Amino acid sequence: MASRQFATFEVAGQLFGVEVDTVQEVLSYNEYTPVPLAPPAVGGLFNLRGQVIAAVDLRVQLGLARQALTGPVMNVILRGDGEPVSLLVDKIGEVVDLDDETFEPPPDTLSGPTRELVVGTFKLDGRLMLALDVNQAVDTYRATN
Amino acid sequence: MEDLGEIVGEFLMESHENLDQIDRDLVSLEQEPDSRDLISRIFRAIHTIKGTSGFLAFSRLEKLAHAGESLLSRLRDGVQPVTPETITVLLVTIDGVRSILASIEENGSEAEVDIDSIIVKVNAQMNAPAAAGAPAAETAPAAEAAPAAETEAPVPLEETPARPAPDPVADQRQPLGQILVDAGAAQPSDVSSALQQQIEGDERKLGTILLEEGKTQPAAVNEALQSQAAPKRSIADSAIRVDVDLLDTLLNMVGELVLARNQLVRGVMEIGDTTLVRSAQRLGMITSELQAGIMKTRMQPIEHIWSKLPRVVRDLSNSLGKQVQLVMQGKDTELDRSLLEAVKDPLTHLVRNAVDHGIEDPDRRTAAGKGAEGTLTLRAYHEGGHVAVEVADDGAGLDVDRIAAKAVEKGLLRPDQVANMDRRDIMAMVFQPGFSTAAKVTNVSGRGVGMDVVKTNIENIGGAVSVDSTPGEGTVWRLTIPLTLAIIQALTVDCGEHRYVVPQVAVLELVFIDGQSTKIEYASGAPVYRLRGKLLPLIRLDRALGLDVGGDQGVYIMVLQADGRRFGMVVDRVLNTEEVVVKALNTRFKDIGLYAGATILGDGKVGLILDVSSLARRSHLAVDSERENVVSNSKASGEGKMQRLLVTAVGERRVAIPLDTVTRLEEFPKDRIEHAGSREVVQYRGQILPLVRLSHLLGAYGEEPEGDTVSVVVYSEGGKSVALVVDRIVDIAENSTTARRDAEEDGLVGTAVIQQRVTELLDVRRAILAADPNFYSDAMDDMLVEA
Repeated sequence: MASRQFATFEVAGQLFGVEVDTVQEVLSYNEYTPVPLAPPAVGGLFNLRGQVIAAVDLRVQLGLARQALTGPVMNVILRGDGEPVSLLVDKIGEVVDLDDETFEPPPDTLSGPTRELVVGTFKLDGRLMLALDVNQAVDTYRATN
Repeated sequence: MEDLGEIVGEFLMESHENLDQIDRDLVSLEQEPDSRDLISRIFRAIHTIKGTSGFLAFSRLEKLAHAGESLLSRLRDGVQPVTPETITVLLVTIDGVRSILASIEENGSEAEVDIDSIIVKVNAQMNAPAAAGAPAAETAPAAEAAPAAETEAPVPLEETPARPAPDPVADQRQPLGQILVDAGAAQPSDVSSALQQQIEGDERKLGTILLEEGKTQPAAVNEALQSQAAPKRSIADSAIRVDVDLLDTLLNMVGELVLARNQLVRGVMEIGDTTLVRSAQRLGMITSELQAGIMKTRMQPIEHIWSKLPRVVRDLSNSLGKQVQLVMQGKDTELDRSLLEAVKDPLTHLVRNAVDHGIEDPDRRTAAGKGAEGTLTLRAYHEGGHVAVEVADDGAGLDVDRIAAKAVEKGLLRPDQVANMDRRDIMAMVFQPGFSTAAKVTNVSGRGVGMDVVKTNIENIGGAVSVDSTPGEGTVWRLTIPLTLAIIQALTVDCGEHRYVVPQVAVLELVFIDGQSTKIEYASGAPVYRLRGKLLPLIRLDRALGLDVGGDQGVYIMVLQADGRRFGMVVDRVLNTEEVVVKALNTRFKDIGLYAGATILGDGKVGLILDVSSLARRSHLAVDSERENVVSNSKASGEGKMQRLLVTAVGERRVAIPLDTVTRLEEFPKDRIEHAGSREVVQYRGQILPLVRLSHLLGAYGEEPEGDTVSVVVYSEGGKSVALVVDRIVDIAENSTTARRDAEEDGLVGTAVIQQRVTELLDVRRAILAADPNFYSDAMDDMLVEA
C-alpha cells in the first residue's frame, strides 16, 4: 500500500499539507522586511542563517487578507527550485502518513483561488486536509494576474 | 558509466587549462624561438592530451593531437625551425582541439568537428621547409641559432635545474651535497668523505656530518635544504580544486557567524565578566580572521584573464599588419572571482581597440619617428581600496577635435559647449552610446557598440572607466574596479519606517533640508533643489517605493549619479556608512528592478539595496537635460574655465573670492586684533598676520557687524599669509559667465550675477597688496613685521 508523508499546517482554520520532501524546515520568525512594489502575496524578507529568504503570505494566495506581521509568524520553508522560499501559515500541524486510497480530487464545489492551489483532498480522521501544489503556492505573480 | 562521465569532466577541465597555457607558451615561443624549455613544455601538454584522449577513446582528438605533437617534435629536435607560420599552424591545431573539447562537453561526441583540414595544414608545415627549403633566409639563421644556443649553454641551463625538461617524471630533487657544492659552501672531497661515512654506517644526516666536522656553515645547509624542498612541492601538490558554490556557502556561514559573534559580545558586555569578555574578544578576532581568509579564497590573480590576451594581440596585429609588443605589469594583482569574469570582456575589447585604433601601422610609426613596433602595456595595481587596470598604448593618441566634431554631428554636444569643455571631458564622449570615430568600420571594432558597453559593464560592478591621451604619445584606458562584489561600501538610510541601503559609489554628496536656508521647491509639481545655483531634479524615495509620502522639512537629499545622470533622492534620515555583504535577491524580485540585492544589517534584519540607476530610469528623469547637466558640472570640477567662488557679505554688498586663492577660513576674537603701525594684525600660528578689512578697501563703510569675532579669509603663498576681513561667509558658488561686466571701481575685477544676486568679484592681488605691500617681493621677507 503506497503511502506518503505530509507536513500539515493551518491557514484560516483549514488544514493544508505539503509532501515532507519539499520542506526544508519549519520555524517561527518575527522580523520581516517588507519589499515595496513587490506583488501583494510577498509578506517580506527575513534572515535565515545569513541567507535572505522571501516569505509568501499563504493567506493572500488563498484570497484572504494579509497576515499582520507584527509578532512571530510560522514559516514553512520549502526547498524551492534552487532557492528556498517560505510560506507564512497560521499554525503548524503534525507530519502524517497518508495512504493513497484516502486521496480524492478536490471537490467540485471548491472554487476561487483555493481551487488553483490544491491538487486534492485527503480524508483524515475527523477532518479534511487539502494537499497544496507547491509551485502554485509560492508563485507570487499568480494572484496578481 | 557515471564514473567515466566524471573522468571526462576532469579531462575537459584539465585540458582547457592546458590549452590556455599552450596558447601563452606558443606566443612566447614566437618571441624566443630558441627556447627548448617552452617547446618541451608545449610538447608535454599536447602529449598529455593525446594520451588521455586515446585512453578515453576520442580517436579524432587523438589524431589531431598526434599531428600537433609530430610537428612539435620536429621543432624540438631542431629538424625544422620555429617560424611565425609554424606557430600559426600550431595555434590553429590548438583551436581545433578546443572545438573538439567543446563538442564533447556539449553532446559527448567529437564526430562533428572537422579535423582533416587542420591535419593537412600541419603536414604541409612539416613537409614545406624540408622539401622546398622554402624561406631559405629564415632557415639558415635559425639553423645557426640552434648550435649557438647550445654553446651559450649557461643561460638556458640556469632555468633547467628547477624543471629538467623532457621527462616529467624525473626526480627533481637534487642531493643536498650537490647543492652545497654548487653553492660553493662545501668542498666536493668533504662531501664524498661524508657520503662514505654514511655508507659505512653513520646514521647521521649528510648535513649534520658536514656541520659537526665544521666543513660547512649552518646557514648554507638551511638554505640548501630549503631549495631542495621548494621544487618538490609543485602547484599540483599544494593546490586543490574547490567548488565556488562551496566557497559561497562558507562565506554565508561566516557572515552569520559574524552576526552571532556581535550578539554574543553585546550580551557578554552586559554581564561584565572579564573572563567571558576576553573569550568573546578572542572569538571576535578569530571570526574576523576567518572572514578575511574566506574572502581571500575567492580572490584570483588578474593573470587569469590576461592569459588569453597575448594570443588576441598576436592574431589581431598579424591580421592588421601591425607589430605590437604586449607588456604586462602586476599580473599577481588579485580580484574577486566574480569580478574577474565581469572585467574580462571589457578588457578584451579595450585591448582589441588599442591594437586596432591606438597603435599605428609600422609605416606611420616610422614616419612619426617611433619604432615600427608598438607597445601595449597592461598594468594592474591596488589603489585605495580599488584595483586599477590600465590598458596603455604608445600610438597616435585620441584626436580631441575629431571627437568633438563627431559628438556635435551625432547631437551629443552643442557646438557652443565644445569651446568651454575640458579635453578630458571631450575624450570621455567616446563612452556615449552610439559614438564611434573610426573612419572605416573594421571587423574588429568601430561599430559604435563597444566603449559604451565597456562603460556600462564596468559601472554595473560598481567600477568606473576613464581615458586620457597625449597626441602622438598614446592613450591610457583606465578601469577602476572594487576589490570585491560581495562587500560594498554603502550608506544606510531611513525612509518611513524602513531602512534601505544605497551603494556609496553612486553618492556624490548629502544636503540637509531644514526648510529655511535650504528647501525643496516645485517646478510645476516636480520637486527640485537648487544645488549651488543649478536645479537638481529630485526623486522622493517614499513616493518611488509607493509608500506614504512624508514632508519636505528635516529631510536629506542624497545627490546621486548613475548612468551619466545626476539627481537628488529625498530620504528621511541618513544613518551611517558601513561595509555590507551583498546577497543575491530572490529571482522573483528581479522584475521590480528597484533593488540591486539585499544584505543583512547590523541588527540581523534584512535590508534592501537600492539600484540607483533603475530608480533614476523609473522616475522618468529626462535623459538629455540631465546629461548636459553632468557634462557642464564635470567641466566645473575639472580644470575648466568655471571658477568656484567663495561668496562673502561685506556690508550690504556681496563679494566673491576665487576659491583657489583661499587657503583657510578663520574666526578671530576681536580682542586679539593688535596694531602695528597703522595696520591691524593678529598673531596666527606663530606668525604675524596682517589684516585688511574689505569694507575699508572697497569703500563700503557701514556698521561694523555685531559679535565678538570677525570672519576672515586667509590667503597663503610662499610661507606668507594675509587675512581679508569680511562680515560674513555666505556660500560657495560656481561662476556663471553671464551678465558680467568690467568694474570701474577700485579693488574689483568685475561683477556677475551669482545665485540671483549681483556679486562683485574681488581683485585678490590688490586686496593682498593693500594688506601687505611687500607680499609678492621675496627679498623683503624679513621686513614683514615692520611693513
